[in-house]
Amino acid sequence: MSNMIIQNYTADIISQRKAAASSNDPSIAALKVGAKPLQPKGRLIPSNMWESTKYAVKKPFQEAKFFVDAAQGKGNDYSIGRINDLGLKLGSLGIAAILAASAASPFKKGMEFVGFATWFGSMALWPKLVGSAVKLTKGFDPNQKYEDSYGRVKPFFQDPQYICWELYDNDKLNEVGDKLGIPTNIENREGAIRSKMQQIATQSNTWTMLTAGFATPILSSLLADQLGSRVFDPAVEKFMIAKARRGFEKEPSLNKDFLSDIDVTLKNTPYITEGAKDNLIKKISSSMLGTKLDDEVGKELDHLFDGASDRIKITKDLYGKVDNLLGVTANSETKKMLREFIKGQLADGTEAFLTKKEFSRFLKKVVIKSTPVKDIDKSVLLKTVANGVFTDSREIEIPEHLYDDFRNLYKVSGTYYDRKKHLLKFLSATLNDVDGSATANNWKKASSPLVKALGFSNDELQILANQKTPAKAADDIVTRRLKKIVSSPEQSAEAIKGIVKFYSASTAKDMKLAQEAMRYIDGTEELTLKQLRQLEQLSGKRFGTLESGFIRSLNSDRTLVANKVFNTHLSFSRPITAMNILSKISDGTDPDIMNLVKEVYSPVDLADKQKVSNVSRMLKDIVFNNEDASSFFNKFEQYDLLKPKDKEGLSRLMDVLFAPLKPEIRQHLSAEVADQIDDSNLIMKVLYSSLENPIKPELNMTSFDELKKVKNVKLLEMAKDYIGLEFRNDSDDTIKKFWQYLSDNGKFKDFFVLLKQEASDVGELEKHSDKFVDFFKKNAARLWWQTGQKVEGNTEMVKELTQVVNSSMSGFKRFTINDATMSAGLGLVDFVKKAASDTVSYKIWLKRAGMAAAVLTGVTAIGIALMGRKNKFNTDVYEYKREGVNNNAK
Amino acid sequence: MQVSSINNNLGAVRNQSKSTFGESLTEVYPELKEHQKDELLPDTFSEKMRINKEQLKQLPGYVSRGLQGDPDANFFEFLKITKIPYFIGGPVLALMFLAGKNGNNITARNATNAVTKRIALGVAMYYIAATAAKAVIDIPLKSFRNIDMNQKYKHMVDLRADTPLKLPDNQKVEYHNWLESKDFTNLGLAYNYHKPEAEKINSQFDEIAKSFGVDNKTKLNDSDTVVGEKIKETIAMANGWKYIITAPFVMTGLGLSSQKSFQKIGGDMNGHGIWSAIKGLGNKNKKPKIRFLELKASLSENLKKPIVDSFKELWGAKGIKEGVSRTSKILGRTAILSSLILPAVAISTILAKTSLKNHKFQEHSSDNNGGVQK
Repeated sequence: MSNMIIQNYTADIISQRKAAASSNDPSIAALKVGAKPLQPKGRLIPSNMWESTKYAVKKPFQEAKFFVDAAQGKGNDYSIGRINDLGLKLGSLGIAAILAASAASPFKKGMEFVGFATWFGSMALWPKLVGSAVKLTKGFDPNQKYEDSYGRVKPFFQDPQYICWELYDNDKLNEVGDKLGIPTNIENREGAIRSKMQQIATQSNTWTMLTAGFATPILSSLLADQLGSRVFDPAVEKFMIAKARRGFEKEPSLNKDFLSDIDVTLKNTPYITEGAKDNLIKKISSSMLGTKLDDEVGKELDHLFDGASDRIKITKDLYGKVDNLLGVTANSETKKMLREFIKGQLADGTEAFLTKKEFSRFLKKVVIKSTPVKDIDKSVLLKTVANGVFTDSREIEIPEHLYDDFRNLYKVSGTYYDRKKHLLKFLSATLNDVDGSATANNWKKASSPLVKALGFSNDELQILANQKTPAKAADDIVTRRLKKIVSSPEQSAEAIKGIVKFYSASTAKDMKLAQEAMRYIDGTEELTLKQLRQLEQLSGKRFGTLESGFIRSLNSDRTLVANKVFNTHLSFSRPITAMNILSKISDGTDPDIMNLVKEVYSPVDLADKQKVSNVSRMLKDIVFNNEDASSFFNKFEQYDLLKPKDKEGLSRLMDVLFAPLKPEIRQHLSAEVADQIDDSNLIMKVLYSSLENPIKPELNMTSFDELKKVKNVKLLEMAKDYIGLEFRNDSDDTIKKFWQYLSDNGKFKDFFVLLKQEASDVGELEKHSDKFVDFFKKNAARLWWQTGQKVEGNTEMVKELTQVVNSSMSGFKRFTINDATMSAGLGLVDFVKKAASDTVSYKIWLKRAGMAAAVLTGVTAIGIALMGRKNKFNTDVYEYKREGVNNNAK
Repeated sequence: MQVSSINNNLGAVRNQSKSTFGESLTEVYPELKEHQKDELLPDTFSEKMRINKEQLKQLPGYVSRGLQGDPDANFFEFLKITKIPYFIGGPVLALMFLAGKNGNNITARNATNAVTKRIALGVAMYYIAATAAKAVIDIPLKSFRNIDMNQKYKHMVDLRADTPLKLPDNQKVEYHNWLESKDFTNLGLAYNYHKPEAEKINSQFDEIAKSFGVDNKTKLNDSDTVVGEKIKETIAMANGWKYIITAPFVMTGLGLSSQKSFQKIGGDMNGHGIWSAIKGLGNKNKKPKIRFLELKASLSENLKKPIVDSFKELWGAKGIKEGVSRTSKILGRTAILSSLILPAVAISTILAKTSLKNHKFQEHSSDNNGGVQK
C-alpha cells in the first residue's frame, strides 16, 4: 500500500474524530469512539414443517437471483454454490419432461414425473430419516439448520471446524448432554458436550453420504411402485376417461382444409375438371379410411355429379398432351390429324368445347391411325389416352345446389368421423387393451387376488410362471388345486370369496362403461342419421349406401363393446364356472353328465364308470383350456368316445358346459353375482346355438324359465303389458295361447318391433330373436296343427314371419361359432398362468427391493447405535471436578 | 460452499486465510519450512492424473475418520465423500430395474434386459452430460484466458495436537482447486517468491493480464490486484454458468438416450456388435487391414449411426419418427438449442465482462507507488 494513501486515510480519520468529538450530532457519535461491531443476527432454524416449506418455496427464487448476480461476476461462495441446486432441479425436471414426451402412453408419461418426484423426495427424505433416528437416540438433530446474519441458510454442523456454538443455548446443550450420558461432574461439561455433538454430527453426515447412493434409488423405486399402483393408476384412468367424455361434449369439429378446398373448387364455379373432382373426392374419402367408410363416402360424393353434363376443352397444348400419351405409337399421321383438328376447332380462339362423344370419336380415329406396336392393345391405348386427356380437359358442369349438397354431405361424414374418433378415445381409456385403461387396470388388479384365492403354493406359482413349463404340467397343477377346493366346502367358500373380490367390482365397472359407450354409439347414430335425413330432404336425393355404411360400422362397434365386456366377465368368472363343472363331475350322478354320457357313449365293453370318467376328462379339458366345444367333434377319439349324433351331442354338451350354478357353489355367492354368472352362461349357450349351420342344435324350449332369467329384455312383462296376457306357468299351453294371440291379431310384426326397441344390446336381441325364430320355425307347424289350423295355409305365414324377422334383424351381426369362441375370454389355465407370472415377477422384485431396503435400514440402525462411542479420535477423557467444590449443575 | 480454513486448533494459526497481497509468504509464515507451505501445482494433464490418484487413495481414510467422528474431518473431506453417492446412485438405479428379472420367463427376461439397458444408457449419458457441461466452460477459459479452473494447489492442513494420526509435521495434504473459492481466493500462491528478482514477483499475473486483453506495451505495476479482481469475477461467472448449463445438457443427454435409435448402440448381441468386432481384431484368418476396417465399420454402424439418428429423432425431423408429438419436438429442440446457445452466451459474456482490453490503467513513475484506478 502506498504510504501516501495510508497517510491520507489516517489524517481523514483523525480529523473526523476531532470533528465528532466537538459535535453534538448523535449520528456521528459512533465516530467518537470508533465503530462498534454489529450485533449478530443469526438464529437456529427450528426443524418444523412450516420453516421447511417456507424455505423450500423461497429457495428456487433466491437461487435464480444468485445466478443473475454470478453472471455479472458478483456473489460469494455461498450464493454461487446454491446455484448448483437450481441447476440440478431444472435439469431433472427437464429430464422428466423429455422422457415423458417420448413415452408411449399417458400412463407412462405420468410415471416419469412420479419417478422425478420420488427421486427428489427420497433424496430429501433419507437424510431426514437418519437425522430423526439420531435425534431420537442422541437428543439433537444433526441436520440442524441455521440462518446467519446475512440471511444465508446453512447446515449447522456442515464444517466441524466452524460451528456457531453461540447460537446454541446452554440449557439445550446440557439437555443433550444428559441424553448423551456425559457425566455431570466434569470441568467444562459444555465443551465436552459440544465435542461429542460434533463427533456424532460428523459421523451422521458421513453415514448419510455413504448410504445415500443406495438409499435414494431403492426408496425411490419402492415409493414410485406403491404410488404408481395405488394413486397413479386410478388417477390416470379417471383423467383419461374424463378427457374422453369431454370430447363428446364439444361440437363436432370438421377439417377446415377440406371445407376450404370445397369452397375453392365448387363454389360459384360453373365447371370442374375431372381431375380436380376426383382429387377432391379422393382426399375427402380417403380421410374416412379409419372408419372403413372411404368407399361409401367416395361413391356418394361422386353420385352427386350424376347426370351433370360435361364437355371437353380443346386448347393448344392438347396437341402435346395427346402426342405424349401416344408415346411410341405416335407417327406423322397422328400428328397431322391432331394439328388439323385442333386448328379447326380453335379457329381464332384460344379454347373450344366438344362433347365427350365427339371427342372420343375423334380420338378413336387417331388411335386407329397410330403405329401398331407389339404388346400394345389399341383399345387399351384408347382408354389410356382418353383418361389422360379427361383428367385435365374434361369439364363437368356443376349442377345447381351441388355446392351445398357436397358441402353438407362432407359435413355429415365429417361429423361422423369426429364422433367416431372420440368414441375410439373413450374406448381406449375404458375397454380396449391399452396401458392405463379401465379394463387393463382391472386385469392388473386381478392377478394377485386370483392366485391368492386359489391358494397356490410358492413352488406351484414358480412352475406356472415359468414359460418353459409344458402345458400338461400347468394343467395338472391347476386341476389338482381346483379339485381340492371343490372337495371341501370351506375351501370353496374361501376361493369364491377371493375371486368375487376382483370379479364384482371390475364387471360392474366394465358394464357401466360399456353402457356409456353404447349410449355414445347410439347418440352418434342418431345424430348422423338425423343429419343425413335432413340432407336427403334438402337435396331430394337418397344416400342409401352411406346410410347402411354408417349403420354397419356402428353395429360392429356395438359388437366390439359387447364382446369386450363379455370377454372380461367370462374370464373372471371362469374359475367359478370351472368349479361348478368340477363339482358336477365329482358328483357321479349329475343328470346333465349322465345325459351327455348317453349321447357320447364309449365303446360298449367299457364299464359305465369308465364312460363317465372319459366324458369327465373331456369336459375338464374343454373348460380349462377354453377350447372350441365344436372342435371336440374331431377329438372324441382321444377320449375313447364315439362321435355323437351331431345335434343331440352338442346340445347335451352345452347343457353341461353352461349349466346353472349348483347350490353348493351358489350359496357362497350373492344372489346378484350368481344370477349374473348364470345369465352369461345362458348367453354363451344360446350364442353357440344361434347358428345357421347344420350343427345347430334344437333348443330345449319346453320352459320359459331360461328366458325369465335373462335381464334387460323382460319378455314376459313386455308381453303382459302389450298383449295383456297373464303368464303364470311355462307350459306349452302358454306358448300356444301367446302364439294364438299374436296370430289372431296380426301382431307378429309389432311384437318383433317391440323386441327390437326393448333390447339394450345386440347379443341379447339376437339371442332372443333367434330363439323365437327357431321356435316359430320348429313349432309353428305343430302349434298350428294343435290349434286346428292347416299347415299348408300357414307355411306362407311362417315364411312371411321369417322374412319380417330377418329384415328387422338385418344389419345385426350374426355370430358364428368362431365369434362365440373369440368372445369367450381367456381360458382358465391361461388366466392362471398369466396371473402367476405377473405375481411371481412382482414378488421377486418386491422381495429384492424390500430386502435391499431392510438391509439398508438395519445397517443404518446399527451405525447410529454406534455413533458417539469412544474411539481413538474421541478419547472422552474428562477432568472430573474435585471433591468439595460446588458441583451444582446448572 | 464456504471453504473455510479457520480451525480452532490449540495454537496453530498458520492456516488462517491471511491475505498475502503484497506480502511475501516468508514474511507471514516465517517458521514454516518449504514443504510445509501451500504450493500451486502445474496445470498439466499428467499432474492432474497424479493428483486424482493421490486423492482417491485418501478417500477410504476420509470415510473411516468421518465414521469415527474425527474433529479433523473437515468440510473438504466431506465434499470428497459426496462423490461416492454421486457415482453409486446411477448404477444402483439401473440395478433396481434389473431386480425384477425372472430368468424363467423368456419374454419377461428380454423385456427386463431391454429396460435395464435403457436405464443404464440413460445413467451413462447423465454422467457424460454433467461432465461435458463443465468442460464446455473450462476449455475455452483455458484457451482464451489461460486460466485453468481445475488447477490444483497443495494445501497443508495442520492437525490438532492430540490427534492419534501420525503424519509428518502433524500435517495432512489436501489438493484443492486453486480457484475453488471467490471469497478466499488463494491468489498469493501465484507470487514468485522463489524468484530472486523483485520485479518478477508478479510475472505470472503479468502473463494472465495479457490473456485478459491488456496491451503488451502497457506496463502494469500491480497486475496482481487488477487480475485478482478479474479472476474472482471469472470464478463467479464460470461456476454460475456451469451449474445452469448442466440443466439443458442433461436434458439433451437423456433425451437422446430415450430415442429408439439410441438403444441400438453396441449392436445386437448376436455377433454383430462392437464387442465382437473388437474380438475380431484378434482373428488371425483375416488381414490386419480388413480387421481394422471391420472394426471401423462396426463402430460406425453401432456407435456413430445410433447417435446421429438419435439427434435427428430428438430434433423431430420429419420422416425420421412417425407421429412425434408437438410437445416432444418442442422439448427436443429446446434441449438441443439451449445446449448449443447457452455455452456460447456464457463464454462470450464471461470474456466480454472480464476483459481488460480497454481498461484505463494509471501509469506511475518509477518509484512504484502507483495504484490502480478503475
